[in-house]
Amino acid sequence: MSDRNVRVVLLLTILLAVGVASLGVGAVRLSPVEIVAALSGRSPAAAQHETIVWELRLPRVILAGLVGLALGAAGAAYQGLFRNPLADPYVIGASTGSALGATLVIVTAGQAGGLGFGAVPLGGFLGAVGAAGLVYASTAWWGPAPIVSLLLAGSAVSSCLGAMVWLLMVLHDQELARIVSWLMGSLQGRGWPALIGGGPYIVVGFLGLCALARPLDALSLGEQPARALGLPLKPISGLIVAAASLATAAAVAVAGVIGFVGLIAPHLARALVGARHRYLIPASGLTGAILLVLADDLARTIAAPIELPVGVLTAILGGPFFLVVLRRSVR
Amino acid sequence: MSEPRLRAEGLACGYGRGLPDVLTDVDLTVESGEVLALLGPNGSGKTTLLRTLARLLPPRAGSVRVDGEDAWRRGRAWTHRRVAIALQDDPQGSRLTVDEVVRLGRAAHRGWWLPMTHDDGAVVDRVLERTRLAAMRDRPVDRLSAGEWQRVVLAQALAQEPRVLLLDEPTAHLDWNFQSEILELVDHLARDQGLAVVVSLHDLNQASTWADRIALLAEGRLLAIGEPDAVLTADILGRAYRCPVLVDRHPLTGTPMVLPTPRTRRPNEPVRMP
Repeated sequence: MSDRNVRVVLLLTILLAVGVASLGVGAVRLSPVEIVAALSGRSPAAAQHETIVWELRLPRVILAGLVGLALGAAGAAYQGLFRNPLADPYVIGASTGSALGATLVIVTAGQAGGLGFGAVPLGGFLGAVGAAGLVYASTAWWGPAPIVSLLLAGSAVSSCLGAMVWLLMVLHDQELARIVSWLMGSLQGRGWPALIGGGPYIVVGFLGLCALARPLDALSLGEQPARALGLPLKPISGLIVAAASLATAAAVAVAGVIGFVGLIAPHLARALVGARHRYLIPASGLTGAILLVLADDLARTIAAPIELPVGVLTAILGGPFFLVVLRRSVR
Repeated sequence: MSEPRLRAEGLACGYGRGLPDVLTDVDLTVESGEVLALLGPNGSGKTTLLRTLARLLPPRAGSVRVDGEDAWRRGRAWTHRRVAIALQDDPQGSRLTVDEVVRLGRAAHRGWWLPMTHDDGAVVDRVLERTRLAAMRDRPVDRLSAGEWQRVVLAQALAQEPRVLLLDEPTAHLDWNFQSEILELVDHLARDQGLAVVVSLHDLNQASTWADRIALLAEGRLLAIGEPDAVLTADILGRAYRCPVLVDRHPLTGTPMVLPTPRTRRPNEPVRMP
């Protein structure tokens, strides 16, 4: 097994360990022994532990892991496609596009009962593809995308789409609280339905990105060099945008807008496994998963008994990281 | 008579709709084992012609044939297994290693989805050895010097195992010794492996030294094509570059040597040696 495969497996092991440990974090603290007992259904303490672990924490931890996986892998793919270390689903507006698409579905479908799965991710997917496509097209139109043009295009598309979300919120003020809490990004109270509804889309998007590793390698050298190697540029770029947007949209549909995980995870992963996307995509996904599970633990406990929206937390922690990367990239 | 390895017939090239042709009526052939140098002033269409020959830019008119078959009719995959182009682009800040970049050349044969095989690895090893990159194969390409990157680009094209090799100014931005090194390698590839090479160059004397034939682009067309002796004349060059030149002979090789002649003569100053 190559050195980098070992490192990917190492990340997976860390994720599992962090995930299991997170089952004990919260208002009721559980020791590792109690967690294992509750999971195996032979809890000596009480049936209460089983309910906490099975009904509340397990779906939430898995969901945090999947959302982090989606954002991390999509971030790595966007960074490769745009040849830009600052691209991530949030920065290029895919998250906001997805939020707009999903909000549109929520308000038009009315009270579709909790999270009406099927339509919400679909709306989010179309929104994400639209936003990412728009940014991609405008940077392509400006020629080889320098960092500044990507940021400008991303922020223009983001604020425009974000304003439309606000508009929808004003027009549908009976849904205001729900939309706001969702926009802030949270994993609270999503449970198994969200996992079953959104999980498959994330898995499909993630596997799609893993399959697109070699085209992403070629694209990291530039569009013309990639074409010179025989890459069918437009269809393949379209596939990359579609797969990354699918993962992003599913993540946004279940957890709202969570920023910066998609930016940070690929940078950490690149330091660990290098730039080749065959390793970078899985490693970024796993790193994103670890980060978000940890962030969610923090969100649950830092201001207990109040729960912070995890999206607010990642934005506060991620902003400075963004500035550091920006400084290093612009030089 | 068998078909030449590469043939352009009545080729017109250009970019974008509504814009004029960059080049028209280009006819040329390149045989296996031959090096054709592409010369011409800035903006004469050297890169445009190379991109059209490489099937990256659709011809406005005419055809590009590889072993007698129309590249545009045979398709992308077919062409890229036979024709490789090394472009001038910089590594774009990519953090891939030398080995990973060169390996991508195998996609022409292996496709974009299947895993690389042992044979692909063997080809990559051979190519890295040949371009003297084996020692730095694990270095990220954004930490290479211009000369090293130029060799990586060439190695990637060679990993495609092409029959036709197109090189866009492979000696640009290189020191003298690296320029010769690249051109010596190109010479070997043509002689030993029978590649048909088209290489665009700025330096007329380099073309004179290394090319079997020279194609001179100017005024939106192929102004002259032939052996260095036939193309590198004061008359033709003066017309292409719009400046007077003096053509002499290299004292050792006997090939034409081109010297610029100043339009306004300065008085000779004696050269002082310390």
